Amino acid sequence: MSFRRIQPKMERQPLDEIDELIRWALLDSVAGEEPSPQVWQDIKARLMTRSRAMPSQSGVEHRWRHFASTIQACALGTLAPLDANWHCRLAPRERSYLVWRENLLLSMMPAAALIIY
Amino acid sequence: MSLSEDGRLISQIRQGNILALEALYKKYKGQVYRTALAITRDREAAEDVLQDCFLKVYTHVDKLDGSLPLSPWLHRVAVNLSYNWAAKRSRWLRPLEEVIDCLVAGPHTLPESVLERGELQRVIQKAIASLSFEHRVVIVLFYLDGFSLNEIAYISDCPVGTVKSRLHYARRNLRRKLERDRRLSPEVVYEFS
Repeated sequence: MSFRRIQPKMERQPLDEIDELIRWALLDSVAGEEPSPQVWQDIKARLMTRSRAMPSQSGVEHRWRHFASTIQACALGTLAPLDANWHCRLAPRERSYLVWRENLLLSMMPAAALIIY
Repeated sequence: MSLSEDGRLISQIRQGNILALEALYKKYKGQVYRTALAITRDREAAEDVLQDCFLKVYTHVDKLDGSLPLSPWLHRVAVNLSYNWAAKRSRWLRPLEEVIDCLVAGPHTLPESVLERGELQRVIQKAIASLSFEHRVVIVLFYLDGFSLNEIAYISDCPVGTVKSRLHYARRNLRRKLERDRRLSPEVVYEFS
């Protein structure tokens, strides 16, 4: 049995020494490093600017309500004259069906309004 | 501050409470900043990364799960922002910095006995900086932040096997670079024959 000195094989060697060196160098390089207080001031300033630029939650909600009520008004404004026109043209039996259907739709209106709001 | 404390702060941020964001910032600013600094090696860039990171916390707070640790998510954002910074950086600047480093550093063949602590630190830092971005990120997250392989996989958005492979090759490259600079004495291996 004899010893033969060979070149080290990197992959198979324990990496304790290199591990310690890397850890030490990294920790040492950033030790005591802190961001300047200005960073938080900048974050706050940007958040303030953003909140001023973007409409608030209540503003968006207000716009949605306004849009929904406009649609409702348009729909009623269009349907009512059409219904009145049909009332004149239709026979009594068909007219009673139309009235029944209108009543049904009107009874559903509060539920629809609740869903929208 | 416990994990549930993070969750409580996150739910307060959802209601638009900036003081809760400040509390979260104070808790994690050092860790995130030092990680970004170790990756970018630029204080200004690290501060920009930190700032954008917490702006993202505020804007994406609805997507955050308060029951999970926040640190990996923050580091994931920080790593992505650091990557963007590195990609935006002009390509000609890096070789120029390397030339300046060589001019300032002088010869690299001094015996270890006369090496100063700072000099050795600088050599290792230079070796880490010369790694590819992906390898550097894995090295920083593993050694500096002490994240597990699974956490690094989440932060780097890649499989655990890839993290293991990157860590292995990064360590091997570092060892070779340091041995080339004669800073690390090569271990002797004896073979029986």
